[in-house]
Amino acid sequence: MRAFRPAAARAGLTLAILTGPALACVLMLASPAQAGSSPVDITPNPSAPGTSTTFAVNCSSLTAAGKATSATLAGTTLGLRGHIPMQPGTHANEFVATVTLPAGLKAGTYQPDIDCSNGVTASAVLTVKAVPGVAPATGDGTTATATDDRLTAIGLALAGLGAVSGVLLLTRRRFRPRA
Amino acid sequence: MRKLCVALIAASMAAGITLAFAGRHALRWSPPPFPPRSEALPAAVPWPASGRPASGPRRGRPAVLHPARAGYPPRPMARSVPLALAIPAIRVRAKIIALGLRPGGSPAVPPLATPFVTSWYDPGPTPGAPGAAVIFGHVDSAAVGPAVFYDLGRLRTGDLIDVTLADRRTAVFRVYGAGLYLKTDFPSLGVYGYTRWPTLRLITCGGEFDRRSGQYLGNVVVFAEYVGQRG
Repeated sequence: MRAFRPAAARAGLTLAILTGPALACVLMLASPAQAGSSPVDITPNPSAPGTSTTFAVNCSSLTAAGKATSATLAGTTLGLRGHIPMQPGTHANEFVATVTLPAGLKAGTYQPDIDCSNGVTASAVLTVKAVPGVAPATGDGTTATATDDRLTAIGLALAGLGAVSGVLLLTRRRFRPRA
Repeated sequence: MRKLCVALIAASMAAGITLAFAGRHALRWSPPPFPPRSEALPAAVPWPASGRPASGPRRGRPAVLHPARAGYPPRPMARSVPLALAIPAIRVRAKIIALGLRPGGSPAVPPLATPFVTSWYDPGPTPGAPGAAVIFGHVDSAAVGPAVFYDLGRLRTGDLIDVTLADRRTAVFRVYGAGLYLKTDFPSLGVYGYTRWPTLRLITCGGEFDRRSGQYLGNVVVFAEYVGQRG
């Protein structure tokens, strides 16, 4: 057992040395390919209810033959029309449609399909985020309601001073004839 | 001599009583200011709806921008969380904290105990990145009276707003509109709606205060567009 362990470890290490870079290569190749494989570009994504959102599709494909002449966006899942015609874009085989998402659309992820006339079908994940429906509460109304307590205090002090002076004057007046 | 004394005493008592009465009934501060109608934007339209505004940076370049960085057209900035806010026109310098939504569907705001702190709506974009970044601040608080955004309603088209981000860059925005909107008719889409050009919205409370509900009936919203960066 003891003699076998280092051998197994050595074999494992060799395997790791061999497969590690290979795996890394595969991953490095795979990730850009995956990122580039979605032919649909959505702006903005995430979007929000009531927001004007643009879908752009590239109808080119290795398998489908020929150029696409038109493309349609299936808007049913988004609460829109079933077949929304797309306009030719700036690049060859590119089609673009801008739609306004319904104000009542629920937050979540949507995957509307796009059909190109050359047989290519594409879809992309659109994330819809809710927009706050309630206005913020920012303030407690102090400046609109608070009365000036300092003014009251000064006023009361002034009135009190007057009263005391009056009493003093009256008492002095009474004592004067005797002195 | 005695007559003068009596007159003085009577005058001081009358003044004192008048002052005390005024203190009980007059407001210590004036209700928060709000922008005139001429500054208002159509509530439901997220402006600019697409692309750069016609009145945007192309027309002129503010001299305040750092010359080395103020190349036009300015490029939108990468996502970076905002930390501080400066609005020289109304002498505001404030810290920014990141907050999201409350369970009821209203955006969270800083506690009233910290009335000079503002909050950035963190489910939305960061200031300087494409889209509308939203910052809230209190208009007043019992602890201090006028709070950080008390004078927000005094901002006018052309005033500049600096937002310092976590990556130490400062995004500069220019006001293009301001309005007072009823809370029941809050322009959610115009405030949070996506804009291709980076925009900023500053929001506080305003309008009439309803003592029964303890709420202002409206919100002051300032709309600003990205014009470049400093630092």
